[in-house]
Amino acid sequence: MYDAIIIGSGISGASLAYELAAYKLRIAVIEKGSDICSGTSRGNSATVHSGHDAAYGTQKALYNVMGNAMFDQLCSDLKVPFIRNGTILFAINEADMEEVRRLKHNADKNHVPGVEVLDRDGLLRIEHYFGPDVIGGLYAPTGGIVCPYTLVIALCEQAHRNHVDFFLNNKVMCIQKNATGFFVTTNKTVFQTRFLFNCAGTHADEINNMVSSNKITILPRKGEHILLDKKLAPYVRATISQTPVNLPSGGHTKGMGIMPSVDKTIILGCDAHDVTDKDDTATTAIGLDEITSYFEKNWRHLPISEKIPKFPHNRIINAFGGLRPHSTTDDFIIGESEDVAGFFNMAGIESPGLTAAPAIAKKIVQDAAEKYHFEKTDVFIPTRDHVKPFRDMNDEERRQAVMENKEYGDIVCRCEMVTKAEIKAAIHAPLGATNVNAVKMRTRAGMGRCQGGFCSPVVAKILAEELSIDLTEVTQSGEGSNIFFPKNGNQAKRNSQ
Amino acid sequence: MKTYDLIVIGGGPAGMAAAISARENGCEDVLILERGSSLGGILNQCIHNGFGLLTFHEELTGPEYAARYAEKICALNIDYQLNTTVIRIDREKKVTAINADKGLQILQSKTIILAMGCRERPRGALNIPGSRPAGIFSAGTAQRIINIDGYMPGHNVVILGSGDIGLIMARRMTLEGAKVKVVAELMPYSSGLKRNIVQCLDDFGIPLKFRTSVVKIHGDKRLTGVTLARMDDRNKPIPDTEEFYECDTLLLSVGLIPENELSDEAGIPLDPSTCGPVVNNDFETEAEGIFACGNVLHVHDLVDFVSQEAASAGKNAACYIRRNGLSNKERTVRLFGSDGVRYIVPQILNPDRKDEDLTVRFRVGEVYQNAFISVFFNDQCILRRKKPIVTPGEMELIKLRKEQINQFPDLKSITIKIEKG
Amino acid sequence: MEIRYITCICCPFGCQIEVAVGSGGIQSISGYTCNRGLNFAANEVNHPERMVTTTVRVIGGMQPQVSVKTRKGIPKSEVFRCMEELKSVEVHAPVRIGDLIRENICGTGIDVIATKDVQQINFQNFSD
Repeated sequence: MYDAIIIGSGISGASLAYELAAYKLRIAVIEKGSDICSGTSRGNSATVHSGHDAAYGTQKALYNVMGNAMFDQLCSDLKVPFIRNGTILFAINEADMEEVRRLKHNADKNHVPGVEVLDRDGLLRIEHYFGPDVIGGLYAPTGGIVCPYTLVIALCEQAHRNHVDFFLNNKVMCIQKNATGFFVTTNKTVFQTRFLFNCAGTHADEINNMVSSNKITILPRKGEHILLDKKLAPYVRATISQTPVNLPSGGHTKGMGIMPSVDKTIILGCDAHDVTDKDDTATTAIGLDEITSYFEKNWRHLPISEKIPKFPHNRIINAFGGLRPHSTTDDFIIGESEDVAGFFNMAGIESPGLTAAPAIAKKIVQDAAEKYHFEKTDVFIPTRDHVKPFRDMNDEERRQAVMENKEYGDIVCRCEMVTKAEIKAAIHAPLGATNVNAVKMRTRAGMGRCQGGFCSPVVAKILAEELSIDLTEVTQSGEGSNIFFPKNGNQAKRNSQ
Repeated sequence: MKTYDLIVIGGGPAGMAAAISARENGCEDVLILERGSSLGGILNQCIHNGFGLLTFHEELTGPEYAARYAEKICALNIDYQLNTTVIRIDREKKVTAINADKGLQILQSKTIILAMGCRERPRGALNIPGSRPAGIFSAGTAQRIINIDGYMPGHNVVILGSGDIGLIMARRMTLEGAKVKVVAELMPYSSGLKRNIVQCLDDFGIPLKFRTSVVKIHGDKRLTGVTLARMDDRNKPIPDTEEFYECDTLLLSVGLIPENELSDEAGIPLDPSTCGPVVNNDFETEAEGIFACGNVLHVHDLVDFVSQEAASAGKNAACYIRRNGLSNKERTVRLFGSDGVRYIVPQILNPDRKDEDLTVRFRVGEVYQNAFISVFFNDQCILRRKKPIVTPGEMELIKLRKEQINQFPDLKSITIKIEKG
Repeated sequence: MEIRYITCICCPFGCQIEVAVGSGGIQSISGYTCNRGLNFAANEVNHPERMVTTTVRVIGGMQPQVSVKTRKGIPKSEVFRCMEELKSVEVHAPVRIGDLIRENICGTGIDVIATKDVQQINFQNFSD
C-alpha cells in the first residue's frame, strides 16, 4: 500500500518522484519498460529551452521559463552536466527578421531574461562566423543543453536513495477507484495507493481515460535526429537554427537546429511527423532525408561552415527517433484531475517538456502537499554522490582511481573511454543496469565512433558475470532482445566455466 | 624516467613485424602496447586460412600467422604489455597508457610506431532508417563472437557488403549452422577476392545481389527482417524494387576505417583519402620520429603487405635513432593520385636520404579494364603499365627505381593516374 | 565437350581457369599461372576438396575454444559432416598449435589440428 504511485519514469515521473520524496510518503514509480527512462526522455533534442518561442499565455510558456531557471541548482545538486550555451535563431531575409522581432516580443511577455534582437555584427560578436547571407537574428542566452537520460537517471537514483520504490516491466492494465484511493493493476501485480500521478508519456491519455471522464487525447508525433562525431564539437557552441523553417513534413517543429551536446556529440534535428504507433521510434527514410537535405542546403549559413565547408556526411555516427506526446489541447495538461480527487496529470509534456518538467513537478507537488497536508521529511537528501566519469578525469585522478580500483585500468569502451569499474558500478548501482542498452545509457559505452563494435560483447560478458546469468540470457534492451545464442547446439553453460 | 628506443602501439601483425624489424636493425629497448589479452590483433579471430602465402610460402590461418611473429617476439625478448590501452601520445613521443596492473604510465620514447589497425563502419554511419533491435552486428564483431567467445549471433542472416569480411562471415555463419539468405552489395562489383566469392558464396549457393542495399530495418526487440532495394548510381533506392527478407541477424561489412584517434589528438596530419597519417617513404608521419604502418595507415587486403610495410617502418625507426633523429628533408617530393587513383601511400618522398627504390601503393576508385597505370614525374610521363583489370578491392603497387628518381633533380611531384586504353 | 570455368582458390590471385571436359575426362586446362592452380583445377572438376577451419571447445583453458583446421582439403561433400563431428569434440588445455584434435575426420584420412595455443587456467593466472 503506497501513498503515492507515479506511472512512468521519464523526465515527468522522475521529477515528480524527486519532489515527492521530500515528504513523508511511501512512494512507488511504475514503469512499463525494462529500464527507467525508456521512452521519449531518452530520445529528444536534449535542449533546455529559453522559452522565447513558447506561445505567451500557455502553460508551456510559464513552466518553460520557470523550469529553465531551476536547471543550474538542480544539475549542480544531482551532479548532472548542464551548459548554458545560448540559443541563436539566425535570419537570412526580412521575413525571418520579422519573425525574430515577433519572438523577441513574445519572449518579453514570457519574462525570458536576456533575449536580444541582433544585427549581423551583433551575432558575430557571439559566434565569430556566420555565412554571408545571415543578416541578423535572435539571441537567447538562457538556452542550454543537458543530457536528458543522465538527468532522468540522476533524478531516479536520488529518489530511490530517498526511499522511492521502482517497479520495472510493469505495464498498467487498469485502474479502479476505491474508498481510499486507487487500485492499479499491472501485468505483474496489483498496487494500492492514495494518490496517483500520470506521467505516462505517449500513453498518458490511456491512463487518464481509465480514471477520469474528462478525456484527453495524446498523439505521438515523431521527431528524428542525426548525430555527428564529437570531433566537430569545437565548431559548435551555441544552439543554432533558422527562422522560420518550412519543412515538407508540415512543421510542428521548433525548427531544424544544430546543437552541441554535453557529451560533445553534435545533434541535428528535428522534423515532425504524426504517427499512429505510440511506441514506434524507428527512424524513417523520409525523416532522415529531410534532415540531411535541410543541412546540405543550409550548412553554409552556420558558424561551423567556416572550418567545415560542406555538410560532413562521413561524420554521421547515428540517428534516432523520439515521440513527442502531443496533446490535442496544444498545451501541457497539468494538475489534479477535475473529477477525480487524488489523480494528477502531468501529460502532454512535449517540447519544452524537458525544460519545464522540474518546475511542473514542483508545482504539482506543492499544490498536492498543501491540499492534502503532506508532511515534509527531514531526511531528504537532494544532492547526489556521483563519481566523475573516467573520461572526464585528469591523469592524476586517473592514476588515483586505478590505484584504488584496478578495474579502472581496464578500458572496455575505447571510443568513449569507459572502464570496467564503471560498467560494474552501473550494474550494481541502485536501479542498476540489467542489459546492454542500460549500461550504455549510464556509461556511454557503445555511443562512440564504433557504436559498440568492440565493446558490446565485452559489456555483455560483464553483465553475465555480474548478474550470474549465462551470456545467452543477456539482452540488448530487455526481454526478447537476446544477443547471443548457443553454438553447436550446446546447452547454455555458466560463464564461470 | 626511462626512455625507450621504440614504443609500438598495437601488437597485431603490423606492430609485431615493426617491433621485430626495429630490434633486428639495432633498436634495443622496444616496447609493444597491446589493448587485447594476447598479441595477434585481429588475426586471432581470423581462423580461416589464406594468410602468409607471400611471406611464408604456405597458407596459414590467421592465428598461425600471428603465432609466427609472436614466437619471434619472445625469441628476441621484446617487451610487451597486454590489456593496456594507450590513451594519449604527443609529438614529443610521450605515451600515456593505462592497465590494471601498472595503473597509469607515462612513457618516454625516442620513436613511436603507430600500428593501431582499423575499426568497422557501423550502421549508424550508414543512416539506415528503422528501429534499433538486437541482432545487428558489424561482421567483425560477429566473427569475434563466434570464433573467440563461442556463441552464435543468430540463425537467419542477411549480410550487407561483399568485401572479404562479409564473404568470410557468410561462410562462417553457414558452417556453424546458420542460414545466410543473401549477401547484398551496394556497388556493381564485389571488393572481395574472387576466390572468396567461390569458397564463401558459390560453395553454399548463397546469392549475391549487386547494386542492392538495406533500406529499412524491422523488429522491435530483436531483428525480424530487412527490406532490401536496388540502388541507382547515386546510391539512392530505386522505387518499387523493395524486397523484404525475414531474418534475425544482419551483418554489416561496409567499410573499415583506420583507427587514428590517437594520431589526430596528437596533431599528426591525416590524409582524408586514406584516413591514415600522411607519411613519407620511410613511413614517417609529419611528426618527426613517429611512424605508421598497417591498417592504421591505409586499409590492406593482404597481411603479407602489412608485414612488409611494418618491417620497413621498424627499420626506419631504428635508422632514425642512429641518425639522432636528424632527417634530411630539404628536398620534398609530393605524391598524388588522380584520375581514378583514389589514394596513394606514401604521400611524400624525401629523395636525398634514400638510396632505395620507392614502392608506392595505391587503390583505384572504380573498376577499370584494359587501362594504363601511368606515372608522371612533374608533368612528364615516365611509365605506363597496361593492366587487364584494376579494382578498388585490390591494392596496387608500383616500384620506382632510385635511378629513375635521381634522373630528375628538379622533381617536385609524382602523380599516378589511370589512363583509359 | 564442356568448358568448366573455375576460379582457383589457392591464393589471392584467383586465376580464372578453363577446364575442357569431354567424354574421356579432362581434355585440357588453361589459364592457371602455377602448378597449384593446375592441380586445383584438375581436382575441382571431379573431386573437389576444401580445407575446413572451425573451433572446438576447450576444457580448463584460458579461452573457451581453440581454432582448428583440417591439415589438407577434404572432399567438399564431407564438409558439413566434418563440422558435425567436431561439435562433439572437446579438448583439454593446454593446447599447442599443431596438436592433433581429431584423427581421420569423417574417415577422410585427414587429421584436424589446432591452429592456436590455449594455456591452461591455473588459479595463479586467473587473476580476474
